[in-house]
This record gives sequence, structure tokens and C-alpha cells, in this order.
Amino acid sequence: MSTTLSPILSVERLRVKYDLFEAVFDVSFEVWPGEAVCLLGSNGAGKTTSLRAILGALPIAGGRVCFLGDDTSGKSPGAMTMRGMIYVPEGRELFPSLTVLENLELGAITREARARTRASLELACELFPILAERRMQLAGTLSGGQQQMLAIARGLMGLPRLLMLDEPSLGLAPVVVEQVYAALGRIVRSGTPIILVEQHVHQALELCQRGYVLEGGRTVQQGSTAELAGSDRLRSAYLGVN
Amino acid sequence: MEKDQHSIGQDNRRWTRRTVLKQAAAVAGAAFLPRFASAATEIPIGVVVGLTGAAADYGRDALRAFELVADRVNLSGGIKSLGGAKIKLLVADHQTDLRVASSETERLITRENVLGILGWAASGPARVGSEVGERYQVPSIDTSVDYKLTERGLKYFYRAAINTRQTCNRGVEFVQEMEKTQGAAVKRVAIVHEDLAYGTGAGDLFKEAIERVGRWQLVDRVAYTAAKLTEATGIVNKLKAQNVDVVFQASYPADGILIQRAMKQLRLDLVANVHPAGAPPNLQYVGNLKSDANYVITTLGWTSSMAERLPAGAKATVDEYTKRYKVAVQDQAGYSLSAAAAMVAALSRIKSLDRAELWQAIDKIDLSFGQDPNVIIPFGIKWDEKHDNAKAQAVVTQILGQQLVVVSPKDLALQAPVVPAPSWNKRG
Amino acid sequence: MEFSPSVIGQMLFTGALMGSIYGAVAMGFSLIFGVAKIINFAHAGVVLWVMYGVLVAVRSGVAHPYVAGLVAIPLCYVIGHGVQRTLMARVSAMSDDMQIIYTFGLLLVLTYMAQFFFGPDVHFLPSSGLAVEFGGVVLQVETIIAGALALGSALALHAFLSRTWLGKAIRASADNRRGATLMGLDVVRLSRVAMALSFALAALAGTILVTVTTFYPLRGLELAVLAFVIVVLGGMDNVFASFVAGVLIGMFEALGTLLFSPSIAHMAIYAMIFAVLLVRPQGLFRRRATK
Ligand SMILES: Nc1ncnc2c1ncn2[C@@H]1O[C@H](COP(=O)(O)OP(=O)(O)O)[C@@H](O)[C@H]1O
Ligand SMILES: [Mg+2]
Repeated sequence: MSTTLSPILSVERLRVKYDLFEAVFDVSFEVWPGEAVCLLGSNGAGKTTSLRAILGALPIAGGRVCFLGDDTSGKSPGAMTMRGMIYVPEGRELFPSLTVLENLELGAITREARARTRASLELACELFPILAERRMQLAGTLSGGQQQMLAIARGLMGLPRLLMLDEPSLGLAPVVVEQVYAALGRIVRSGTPIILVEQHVHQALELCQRGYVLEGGRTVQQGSTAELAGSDRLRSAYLGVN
Repeated sequence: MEKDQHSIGQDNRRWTRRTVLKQAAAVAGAAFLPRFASAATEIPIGVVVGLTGAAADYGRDALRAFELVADRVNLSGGIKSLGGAKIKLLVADHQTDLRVASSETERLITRENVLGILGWAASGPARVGSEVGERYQVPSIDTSVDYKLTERGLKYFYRAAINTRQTCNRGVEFVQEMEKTQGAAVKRVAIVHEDLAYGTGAGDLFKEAIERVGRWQLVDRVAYTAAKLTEATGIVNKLKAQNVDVVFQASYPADGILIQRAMKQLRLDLVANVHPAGAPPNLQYVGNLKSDANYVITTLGWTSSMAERLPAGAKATVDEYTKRYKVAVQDQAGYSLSAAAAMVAALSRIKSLDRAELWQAIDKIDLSFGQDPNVIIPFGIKWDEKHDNAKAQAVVTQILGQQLVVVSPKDLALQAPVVPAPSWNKRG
Repeated sequence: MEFSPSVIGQMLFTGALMGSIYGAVAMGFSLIFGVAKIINFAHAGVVLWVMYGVLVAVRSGVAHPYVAGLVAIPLCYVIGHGVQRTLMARVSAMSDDMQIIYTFGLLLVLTYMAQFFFGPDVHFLPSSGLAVEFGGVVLQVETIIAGALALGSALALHAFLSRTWLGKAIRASADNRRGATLMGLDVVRLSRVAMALSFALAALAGTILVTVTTFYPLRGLELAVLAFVIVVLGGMDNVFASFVAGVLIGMFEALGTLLFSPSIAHMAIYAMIFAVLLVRPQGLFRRRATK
């Protein structure tokens, strides 16, 4: 009940430092149930840093993060993952010398997820049939696109209550990006809330309902994806080349 | 120089004069000048042994023996020929370290002005220390066993201890005797040794001796690294495959135990298993193997089980040592008591505190077993052309009833040797 | 020399059994390298102390060696957990050469502590004298049990690491520590479990070694070199490959002993390791994974 009344995740005036270097000054955004939200911004804007701080992998220097109604300060990534916040990292971060199947199995990190491993595996393989074919292969031997699919599938194995995807199209050929986004579309339609960090703005804007623009460690703009798509600011700062 | 002399205290005036003499000698270009016996109430003898480090056990035993002999002499009126002068031992610890052995020997010679040296009770330090003695023309009597020490043609270095050549040769000789007296059939023999200086040297010596015998076939020579030997059935399997009758073996305790145990396990029945000292005399060997150690043969320069058969005077010395230090006379102590006896005998023949004179006196030493109570190694001390002790003779011991028992020579033997050893199947 | 079937059989069986024991010494060492990327030379010190522990238990009439081992294994598991919390907690943050100095220093401390408490003497448990004989091959019962326990533990460890979720998680955190953290694995806890397991393996290795060989404090240093050599051959972080490499080394040693001598066999082993480091730095059995 409360979930319908409050956001799944709310980030208020987040600040994050790497030692003395302040990378994120003032980032705020929210994700509501069933919603797909994108964080846009050029390279170095602070998107990855924000997500990792929310996950608990980086210490928060200021501001407030609430996940499912609780303040997350001081929580470890392990604790956040246990609560259903699943991060699909930039650069995939797979276990290259484990098999595809083992990578997937390890995604089922909570007791509940582990009990449902078989069903989740079926779902993942239906979403990405190539993974079923390659399940006994070492993850390190997959192509870039297949690795990204595996990373997403591994995230789904954890039965996410919020799925945070960090640049899932990074370094992939356009055809493969299409495939990945087709799958993401199905995930969103199934009702799993997502945060999508992207530089491929077109796909992101198509997939998500709302978005935020980060620049130099600050949220500088927010709105529905339709609004953002027409925004001059986004065009000039970020889509200029397109 | 003036200043130095003034800074030396009253008690050391005698030394001051010696320093002056020494410096005068250096200026004159002479190696040394005679010092006057009438002026000397003490005879400085250097003792360089390892009191710390790997050979500390040996160094401790050697020092005990040297002190015992010096005290005996001093209590009975000192050295008569030098007007009753007392022996003063100046002790240095070489720490079983070659660099320290060299510098400490040099210090005793140049600073303490020792007349002669007793040492080094460890083969490595003896090698470098004796070279320093040679350079300064200071005579020394050593108690280390490595046969290579006397193969360098040193003029001032003498060794009272029995050396590994003597113990290895005696082992081979003993097996020949057994062929004659016990009718033991020996055709195929093998050498097994650890691969550091001790074992490799013994391996070489065994090989030479076996080749001299001529009629045996040396079927294998197995070298192993003691520290890396986790099990020894591999070695024994190999010996067994070659039907060896006699094994000549040079081991440390840990590996010696493993090999003996593997011989039992694979039932390798030998006419004899002969060691030059090495593992079997070590208390840990019988302590660990118990009755499986029986019938192993060891050739030794000294073993405390000889004590019963020593001449009365020598027996009294052994008893005094045992009473004073509350331990049995081990091999190093045995050699060291005898080396000290040789030094004392040489001192009794010189008229002045002169190194050259002492050197000549040491060179002429001829002591027999029973003649000097401090000579406790059979059968006395007399140097051969290499300055090894020609009168030293290895005794053959065999482990019988878990005891190291002298089985040869006859006049020291407590029991007859059991050769060939009973087969493993017949043992309890 | 004639190589009768019994001589060859003796060589093969002894080599394989001793090799399994070597493998048991190396497995725990390899596990820690795999998970925490620490070259833990102190592992051999733990093996040494277990050997002394079992010796004391047996000599004082408290327990049979295998019973003592049965106590030592869980005890060491708990100690390993504690050690990862304390002594080893900061090691993974050190530079590689500092780590080696640190763990080697720990090994020296353990070695010289053993020397202080137990003296430099050689120790060795009396054997049961029981042997199995077939076709002229004689095998000491202790050696057979030791080999079987070593093989059994290697298989069990392999099953644990490849079949259970916890085992896979341990391998995952070895494979990509940052990735494991980001997907929510508790890498700190996993490294504690791994260290505890490694200690338990050290306890097993110590127990079986005590029943077959002689030992003295400096044995610890030799065991460290042995474990290192095996693990280099097997591929640093592959636990089962380490066991197989141990068996290979044992066989190689036995064959070299029969054909030449133990000295030459050991020299050849080091030459082989050198060649492996040059030609296949990833170890003999490891596929090179591409990221
Ligand atoms: N580990 C790090 N240490 C120090 N600075 C970092 C680190 N990672 C990222 N940064 C800096 O923080 C800023 C934000 O980086 P990041 O969050 O990766 O941006 P984005 O994901 O939006 O491309 C950049 O200036 C980057 O250089
Ligand atoms: Mg980024």
C-alpha cells in the first residue's frame, strides 16, 4: 500500500567524494513503482558515481537516500542487494572464468531468489535465448553483446525491486543495442522499476517515462522523456553531435 | 702510539711490553721475536669455537674439554718447562659464521697475541680460520672432521680429530674383515648420501675406497637433498631393484630415520649398512627408530660407550668430565680433550713463549694411548705428512639392543659384531 | 638395473600417494591465492604447527593421530576465521611484495616459535607397522590412508567449489572482486570462509604428514617452497589443478629417484617450474580466460 504512495527510491541532494575530489555535488531524483527512469549526461557527469553511492559501494558525503522507505546510509552493497536493489554495472563486471550458468546462479543472491532459481533461469533464457545455448561456456569467452545480456540476466536472477542499469549499450554494435533494448522493454513492461544510465539517449528516451539530466555532478534538468526530447539544453549539451 | 700505551691500565703492563715488542718486530721485518719465559706467568692460548649458531653444540663441548685440560694443568703447577706458567685460554665465538671465524681468529692473534690456537670445532670455520693462522704463522690444532681441511698443504694447521677419510675407509675395511671372519658374501654395494658437504665428501671417499677394494661392484650412488626428503621408499626401492648387499650411507638424523624406516617397510635385507658417524650416533636416531635401528653400523672417532675399556688415566679424565659437566663425553669433547693434551705436551717442550718454537714442538708430538691421561682417542696423536692424526683409529660401533656398542677393534670392543644382519622377517 | 613390475609398481604407487599428500599441502595455499590474491607462505607454518600439535597429543597419550586430526580440522577452521579477521585483514591492501614479506615473516615466526617450544630435534611418530602387499609392492597403511584422505579432500573441495552456491561465490569473488562486491556478494565474509577452509586443509595436510614423515622446525620452510612450486605448476588459483600438480610432482620425483637420484629429481622439478613460468605463466592446466 505504502509503495503506491511513496517512491521506491528517492535521492535528495546527494554528494559523493573520492577522497578530496568531489565528483557529485547535488543530485536528486526519484523512482516510483513501475516506473522506468533514465539518468542522462555526458561522460564524467557523475552518473556511475551516483549509482554506486546509492548502492553503498561508495560512501555518501551528504544528502539522503531512501530505498523502500528506509534511509540507506551506512548500508553495504550486500545489504542493499538483499533488499532488492540490483545493480548491473558499467563494464558488466562478470565472472569471466565461471560459466554462463554459474554467473546466472550467483545472481540469485537472496534466499527467496535462490529458492526460485529454476524459474528465474527459465525466464532469463526466454529473454536471452543465446544464454541458454552458451550456458556451459566460460563467461569470458562470450561476445560483448552476449556479456551484456548475461549481466542483465544475472541482475534479473536476484528478483529486483529496483534494477539499476549502468550504460548497457556501451561498446555494442547498433544491431545488438536493438536486441538489448527489446529485452529491456519487456522488463519494463513486466513492471520492474528501472533506472537506466545511458549515453545512447534516443533509446533511453524511448524506453523510459521520465528522465533527469546530470552535468558536472549536478541534476540540471528533469521531466518526462517527451519534454526532455524537445529540450534545447539536452540537445546542445549532450546530443549536439547527433 | 705513546698515548695508546699510557691508556692501558696497570694490570696490563705485561701486555704493554708485549705490544712494544710486537711492534718492534714488525718494524724489524721479523715475523716474531722470542719472548722471555721468566717474564711470563701466563701462556695465552686462543680458543675459537662456535658457541652460537649451527655448530654451537660442538663448540660448547670443545670449550668444556679445553677448559678441563687447562684447569688440570694449572692446578698441578702449570707448565714446568716455562717456570710453572699457567695456561690462559682466550675464548672467541665464531658463531658458526665464516666471516666471524676469520675476524675472531685474527683478533686473537693480533690483539691477544695468542701463542697457538685450539679450535674450530666446525669444518667451515676451521677452513677460513686456519688460513688466518697460516698467514700469521700461528700453529693450531683443530677438532673438525672434514677430510678436505688437511688437503690444502697448510704448514701450521694440525688436526687431532679423526677425519671423514679415516671413518669412511674404516667402514669399507670393516666390511672386508667381515667377509673373512664372518663369511659374509658381498658382491654388490651402493652408496647413499645427502648432497651437502658432509654427505658428498663421504660419498667420494666411499667410492675411492670401494674402488681400491676392487672386487665389489658399486651398483649405484644415490644422492638426495636431506631437507626435501619426505619419504625414502623411492631410494630403497631402487636399492632393492639392484640387489645390493651392503649400503654405505651418509645421512643426517631426519633423513637417516626415513631411509631406515623405508628399508624395514620394503624389507631390504643387507649384509651391512655402514655409516661414517652421521645419523646413527645421534640420540634422535635410536630414539625415533627404536629397535628398527638395530644392526646399523657406524664408524666413529669417539663414543662414550668406549669409556669402560679406556686405560685407567684416560678413564679418569672421562669421569672427571662427566662429573664436572653432568653430560657424557661426546665425540667433539673426545677430540678436544686430546687436542688440548697435544697442545699441553708441546708447551712442556718449549723454553720461551715463541710461536716458532711451539710450532716445532707441536710438529714433533707423539703421544700414545695410555701415556697421557688427557689423550682419550684411540690410539694417540702423531701427525702424518698432511698433519692428520695418523694414530687416530676409527672404532666400529653397531646398534645392538638400541645401544651404540663398540664391536671393533678388539681391545675396545664390548660385543662381537652381528654381520650379516638378521633379515627383517626374522626380527621381532 | 632391471625394472621388474614390482619395482615399477612400487615407484608408481609411492609417487602417486606422496604426490597426493603434496597436493593436500598445496590446496589450501592455492585457495587463498585464488580468493584473496595473497601468497600465504604462512600456510606451511600452520601445517607445521598442526604436526607438532598432533605429535604432542599422540606422545602424551591423549589421542590417536587421526583422532587428533579430527579435532585439529574444525579447530583450525575457527582459528582461520579469526586470523582473517585480525592478522590477515590488512594484507590484501598491501602491495604484492609487502604481502610476500609479511606472510613469509609470519612463516618465520611460526618456524622459530616451533623451534623455541619444541627444540630443533627431529620428530617422527612410530608407524603401525601395518602394510599392504600385492605383487611385490609394499605400501605402508598410513601412506595409503594419507593418499586417500588427500584425494578425498581434493574431491570434496572441488565439489564444494563447483557445485555449491557458497563455493561458486568464493570462486566468483576470486575471479572479479569488484564485480562480486557490486552484485552484492559479501567478499569480506567469503574471504574469511576461504581462510578458514584453507586452515582446515592445513590441518588435514599436517595430520597426514605426521603419520608418514619426519619433521623438525625448518621443515616448514621446505613445505612452503613445495606448496609454491606445486601451485605455480598447477596455475596459481586453481585448487583442483594444484592437487593434480602435486600428484604430478610426486610421480616425477619417484620416477627421477628410480632413474637417477632424488637430488637430480628435485633439481629437475625446479627446472620444470622455471620452464612453466617462462612458457605458461598461467600454469599447466589453466585456460587463458579473455575478458
Ligand atoms: N575511482 C575514482 N577516483 C577518482 N575520481 C573518479 C573515480 N571514478 C570517477 N571519478 C571522477 O568522478 C567524476 C564522475 O565520474 P563518473 O561517475 O564515472 O561519471 P559518468 O558515469 O557520468 O561518466 C569524473 O570526473 C571522474 O573522473
Ligand atoms: Mg559511468
